[in-house]
Amino acid sequence: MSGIPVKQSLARRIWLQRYLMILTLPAVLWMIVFHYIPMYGIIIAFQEYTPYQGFLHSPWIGLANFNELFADPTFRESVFNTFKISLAKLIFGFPAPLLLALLLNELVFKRFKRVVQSLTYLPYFVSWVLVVGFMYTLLDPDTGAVAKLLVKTGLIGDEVMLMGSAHSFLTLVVVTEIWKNVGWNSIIYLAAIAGIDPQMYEAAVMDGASRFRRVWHITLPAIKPTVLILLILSIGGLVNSNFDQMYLMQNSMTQDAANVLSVYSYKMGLVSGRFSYGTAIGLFQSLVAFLLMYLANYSSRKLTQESLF
Amino acid sequence: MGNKGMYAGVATMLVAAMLTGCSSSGNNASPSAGESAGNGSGASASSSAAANASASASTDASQPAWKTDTSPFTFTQYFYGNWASNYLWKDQYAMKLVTEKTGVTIDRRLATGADDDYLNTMIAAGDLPDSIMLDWNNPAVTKLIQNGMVYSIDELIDQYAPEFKSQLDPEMVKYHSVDGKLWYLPNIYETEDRLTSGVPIVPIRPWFIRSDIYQAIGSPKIETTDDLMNALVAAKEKFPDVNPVGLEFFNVAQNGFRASNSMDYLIYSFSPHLLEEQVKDDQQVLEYPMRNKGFIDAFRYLNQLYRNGLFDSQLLIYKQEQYEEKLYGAQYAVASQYMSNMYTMFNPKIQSTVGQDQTYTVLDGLKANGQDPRYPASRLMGWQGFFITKNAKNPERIIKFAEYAWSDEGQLDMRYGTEGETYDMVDGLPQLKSDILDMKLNDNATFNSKYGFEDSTLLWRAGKLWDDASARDLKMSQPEQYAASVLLAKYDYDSYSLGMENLEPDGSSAEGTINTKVKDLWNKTIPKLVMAKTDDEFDSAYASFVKQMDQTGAEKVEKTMYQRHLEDLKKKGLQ
Repeated sequence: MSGIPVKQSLARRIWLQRYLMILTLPAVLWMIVFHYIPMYGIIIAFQEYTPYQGFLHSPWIGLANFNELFADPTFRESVFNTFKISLAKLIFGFPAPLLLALLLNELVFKRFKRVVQSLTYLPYFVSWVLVVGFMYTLLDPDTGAVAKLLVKTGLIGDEVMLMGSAHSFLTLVVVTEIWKNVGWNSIIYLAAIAGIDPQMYEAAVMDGASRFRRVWHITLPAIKPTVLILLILSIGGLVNSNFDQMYLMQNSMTQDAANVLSVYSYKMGLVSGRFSYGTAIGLFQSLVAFLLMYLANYSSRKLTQESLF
Repeated sequence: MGNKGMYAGVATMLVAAMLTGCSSSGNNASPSAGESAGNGSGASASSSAAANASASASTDASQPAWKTDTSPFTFTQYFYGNWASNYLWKDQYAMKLVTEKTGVTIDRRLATGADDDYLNTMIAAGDLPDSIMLDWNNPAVTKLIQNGMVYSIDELIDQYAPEFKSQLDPEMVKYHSVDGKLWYLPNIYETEDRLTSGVPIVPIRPWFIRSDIYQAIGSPKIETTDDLMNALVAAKEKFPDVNPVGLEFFNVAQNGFRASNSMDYLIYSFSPHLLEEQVKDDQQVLEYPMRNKGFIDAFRYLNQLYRNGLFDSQLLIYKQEQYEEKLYGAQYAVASQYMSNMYTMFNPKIQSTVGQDQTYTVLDGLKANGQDPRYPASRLMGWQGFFITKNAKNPERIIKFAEYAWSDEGQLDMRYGTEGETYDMVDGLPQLKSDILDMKLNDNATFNSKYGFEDSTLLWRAGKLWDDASARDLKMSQPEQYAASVLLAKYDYDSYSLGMENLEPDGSSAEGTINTKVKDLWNKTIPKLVMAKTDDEFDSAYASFVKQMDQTGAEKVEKTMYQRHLEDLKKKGLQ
C-alpha cells in the first residue's frame, strides 16, 4: 500500500480498494435495509397513529406525546434507572475485559491461556433467557447451590431472595453482565496487544523494567486508541441498558428497579398497543444516545486527539 | 476502526427505528369500517361475491352453503394463546375429517412470544392472517373493529351464506354486536341452562391437601380459614421439609387484580359479596377490588401465613413452570391447581412417581368470619371470537366453512369424529369409543396428537346436548373429579345479572393507560403486603398504595368501568 501516490482520482481509489468494498457491502446493505429504511417510522412519534390510517394518514399531534412523556413519573424513573444501571455497568464492566486481556497476555503457558480464553468467552453465546433461568435456579434460597454457598460464606443472610430483591438487583445485573461478556470483549484488546512490536518489550527488559512497568509503559499506551474508541462507544450506549436481561429479571419485587427505557418503551408500545407513545420513548432514547456519543467523542478529541470522527 | 465506530454509533441511534419499522402495507383500502364487506376488498371480490351469493341463494336454498364448494382450500389463522400447540393442524383424525368433508385446511399459527406483543405487532403492521381466534373481551378487539381490519360477520353471512343466520342464537347476536353489527363468532356462548346442566361449574382454582399429610395430622375438619391455618401449622410440625402452601404464579398484568388464580379461593371466602360491593350506583363508579376490605383481608391472610412461616415468599416471583415442577413432586402440603389438571395430570403423575398416598384431595370451600363463601359462576358469554380479517383472500369460503363448523354436523365432527368408528350414540348422547376415552384420560398427549378431538375448528357451540354428554363422561370416567366439582359448585351463584363482563378499558385509551399503571402499582404492592412483618407495616403499605392509586387517577377508570358495567347490563337486556 505504501507505493500508492497520495493524489488519485476517486474512481481509481475505489478500484484499488475493490476487495475491501465488496467485503463491507453486505454490512452496508444491512444497515440501509434494517436501519435507514425503517427510519421513516419515527414520524409516528408525532402522530396519533392508528394502523388503518397508516403512516401517511394518521392525524398529526405535534409534540403531545413528548409533553406527556416528560410529565410521566414512570418515564422519569426509567431514565434514572437506565443511567444508574448503565453507569454501574460502565464503571465495573468496562475495565474488566481490559484487565482480563492484560492478565491473559502475561501468561507464559500458551495452552492454559487458550483454555482460559475459551472458557471466558463461552458464556457470551448463552442466551439471556438461559442465563436468567440459571439464576432463578442457582439463587433459590431453598435449593440453589450458589445461594447456599453465599450463605455459608456469610456473604448473605439465610432466606434472602436474591432474585426478589431490589437491593441485590443492581449487583446481579452487573455481575452477570460481566460474566457473560468479559471474555468476548477482551478479544479486541488481545488483538490490539498482539500488534505491539515485541522489540519494545525486549528493550524494556534490557533496561531492567519489571512486568508492571512494561504493562504500564508499553502495553497500555500502545492500546490507548483502542481503549478510548471502545470507551466512546460505551458512553454512547449508556442509554441502552440490555433489554433481554432487564425484561427477564423483572418480577413483582424488582419491577421498579428493572424499569429502564427500553422495557418501558416495549410495555407502552407493544404490550399496551400505544404505538406512538412507545416510539416517542424510543426516539428520546436514540437522541440522548447520539448526544452522549457526540460529547464523548468531542471531549476525547480535545483531550487526547483520539476520536471516532 | 473509525468507520466501524461511526457505524456502531449510528446503529445505536437507530434502535428507536426498530419499533417504528413495521410496514403499513395493505392499509390503503377504504377506511370506513361500516362499509359493506364487498366494497372494502376491491371490485373483483365484490362482483364475484354477489354473483355467487345470488347463485347459492337461488339454486338450492335448502343445501348448506359450504357444500357448494369443497375444492381444496387453505386459510391462515392466528390463535391467541401460545400454549395451544394441540390446536395446530397436523393430520390428526378430527382435522383430516374436516378437510375430507369441506376441502378446507386451517393453517393455524401461534405467537412466538407473548401473545399481546405478537398481536399488537401484527395490527401495527397491518399484517394480519386470514382469520383470528381472539378472546372477545381482549382490548385489541376494539382496535380491530375500529380500524376496519375485520369483516362484519352478518354482512358476509347475508352475502354468502344467508341460511347460516337462522342458526345463530339471536340473544348471542344481540349481546356480541358492536355498533349494530356482529364482528366475530364467539365460541362457547353458554345459555341460561348451563348453570343447571353439564359439568358443575367451579369458577375458582380449588385448593387441595396432600392425602398422607392430611391423615398424619388426624384428618381434622377444614371448614374455616382458621381451620386451614391450624392444619398447616400441624402439617409443618410433622413434615418440616414440605412446603406448607403452594399457589399459582403471581402476576397482575396476566391474572388480573387477584394476582394469582389461586387467590380466588380466599377472596370469595373473605369477600363473598365482592362483585356486588364493587358497584357504587350512588357515585356512578365501579370500584377497584383493592378498595374492598374483604378482598384485602384475603391478602392479609396470606400475610399471616407468611408470618407463621407457612408461605414461601419465593412463590411471589415464581414462574408457573417452577411451581408446577414442585407440584409434580408433591412438595406442598396444600396446593392449588385447575381442577381438571389436578385430576388428569398431577395426581396421575404423582401416583406413578412418588406414590398413591401423596396424591391430592380437594378442600371444601372455606368460611371466613362466620360467612359462607360465594363463587360467582356466570355462564360463559363466550371465550374466543372467530374474526375474518380484511386480509382474507377468500372470505366467502371462510364464512361458508364457519357455517359448517357451527352446524351440528361440524360440532360432532370436531368433538367426536365419525359415528360407529370413533363414537356411538348412547341414549341420544354421543360417546367416544371406550379405548379412545381411555386414551383421553390416561395418555392425553397421544390422544391429542392422534385424534385431535376438540382441537380442530374450535368453534364450540354450547348447548344442552354437549353439556349432558360431557357431564356424563366426567361422572363415568372421573368420579373423583366429578364429586370434587359438586362439592365446590354448591357455593356458586349466578353472577350474570351483575353486569361484570368486559369491564376494563382499552389499553391504549387514556383510562387504559391509568389502568395499566394501577395494575403495575398493585403488582409491586402485593409482595409488600404479603411480606409485611407487622400489622402496622401491612396497613401502611396498603394506605400508601391507595394514595398512589388515587394520585394516578384511578377514579377515572372506575367511572369508565361503571359505564361499561351499564353497557353490559344493557346488552344483556337487563336495563
